Amino acid sequence: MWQPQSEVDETPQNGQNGAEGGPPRIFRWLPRIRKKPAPALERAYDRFLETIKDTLSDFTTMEINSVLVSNISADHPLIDVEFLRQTGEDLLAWFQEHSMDEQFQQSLKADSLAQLEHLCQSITFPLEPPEKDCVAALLKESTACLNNKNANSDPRHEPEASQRAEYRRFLRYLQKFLATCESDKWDDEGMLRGREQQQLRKLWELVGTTFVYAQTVVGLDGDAISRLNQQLFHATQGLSRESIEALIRFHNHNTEASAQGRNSLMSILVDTLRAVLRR
Amino acid sequence: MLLTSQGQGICYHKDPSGPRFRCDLLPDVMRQQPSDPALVLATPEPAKAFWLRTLVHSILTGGQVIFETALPARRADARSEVAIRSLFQFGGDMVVSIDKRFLTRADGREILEAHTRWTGWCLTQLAQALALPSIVRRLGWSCVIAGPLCFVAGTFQYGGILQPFGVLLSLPGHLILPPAKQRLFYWLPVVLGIIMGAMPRAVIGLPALGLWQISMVALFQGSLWQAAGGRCVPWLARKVLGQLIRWKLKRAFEPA
Repeated sequence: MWQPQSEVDETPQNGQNGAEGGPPRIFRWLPRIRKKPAPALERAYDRFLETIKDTLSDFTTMEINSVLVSNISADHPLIDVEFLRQTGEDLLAWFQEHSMDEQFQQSLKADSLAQLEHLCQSITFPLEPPEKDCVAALLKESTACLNNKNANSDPRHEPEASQRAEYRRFLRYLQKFLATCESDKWDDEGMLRGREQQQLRKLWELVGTTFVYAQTVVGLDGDAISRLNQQLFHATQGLSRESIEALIRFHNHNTEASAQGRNSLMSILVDTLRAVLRR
Repeated sequence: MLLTSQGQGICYHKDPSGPRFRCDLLPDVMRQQPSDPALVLATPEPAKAFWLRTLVHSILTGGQVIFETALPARRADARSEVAIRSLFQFGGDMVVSIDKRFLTRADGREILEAHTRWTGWCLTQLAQALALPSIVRRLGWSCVIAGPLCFVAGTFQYGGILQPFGVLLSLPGHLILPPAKQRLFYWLPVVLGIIMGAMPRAVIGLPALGLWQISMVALFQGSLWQAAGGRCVPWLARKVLGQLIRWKLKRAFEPA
């Protein structure tokens, strides 16, 4: 429960008026609350507004990914820095198990993998200079791998084409992981704020996957793009025709559920606006 | 209901990283789900504010919800295994992970359908938690009742803020609630006056007088806000929103 403080904390806070160092405007009209409210309340208020803001800006595009995995862990990290560590460890394990023929795709070097291992084991926030150097070096290496396009080496036959696509997908995941490490939205409790937290959770889910078998992206204007991974139909996956059909139907249901959820939130916003303007 | 009293079915975990729902697909649960997913929600039956509280917790922890469908462990000392996990984010993004070992089971498709069914039901409940009519109605009545109470309490206090606060507090209620509902409230002082006039003097005491005073104040405030607020507030809201939109467009198209 909030209690008024006897002394005003003039340290600039990263709140609604972060740069001004004062209490949020919403509290100022209350006569007793000319002093700064408790930090926990201010943090909760900031997180609430930030989530609303990010949700509204994410409304324009909706992405549904259905993935197949070899195992789903029942253990859940409780803090975001633990999510980040597990994501890094999964990425490291994947890159150590998969390496590409240099003819088709440049792979990460052993030094880079060692740096990634060191980063996962010793990452703390704010980042120390050695970790910052690790992140910068890994970013440079992964960008070089993605940009290395040898016109004569583009594989046109399976399975090299799928393997190359998968490797490049994980290189992009690595870049997102490194961008999250560098984010300035980490707080002292090991939690992220804003859109980065949602991106981290998505990354944590996607990194441990066998492959993404279906993806649908729907824009607010109604444009929809659906992709089906052809690996789903390969005999190597060991799935029967009925299972494949069930998976595709399942993805369609998920798309509908997600669209309904977004539409419900949109209609609530519209109803609220209508109630204010017309009444 | 035997399932729910044993604590089986859908469980809710309030993790620091966000709300997580988990459904253990026992054979009985699989059988009951097609008829009514609500039957498998763990007891005690969630309070009406449960979904709203869950929604607020989700917003405070990043705007995402996890749904897990688990199957019973093969051995007595082992843990149940998660077959499907859905991460739903309020912007509409969703990641659904399926353990492919369970697809080869004979009931693989039933597992997929059960997951779709109960997660869809939970998402519907979460969306309805924000349904404007129920929240607004509760808020409106709270304001209509609390406003006059503050006003009357303020009459006993010289120079306080309770009286103007009470008048302001009743504004949202009189704007939000439909006039038909408020008319019943306005009849209260008339009815009370008749009762007080007809009853013997013994029952006319402070509580009845206080209630009559509160209802008179509510009647006055309601008339005031209906006349003044019914037009002013939407006009003001349109002005403010119009200015905001013009400012945003100007900033967006301003040359750098």
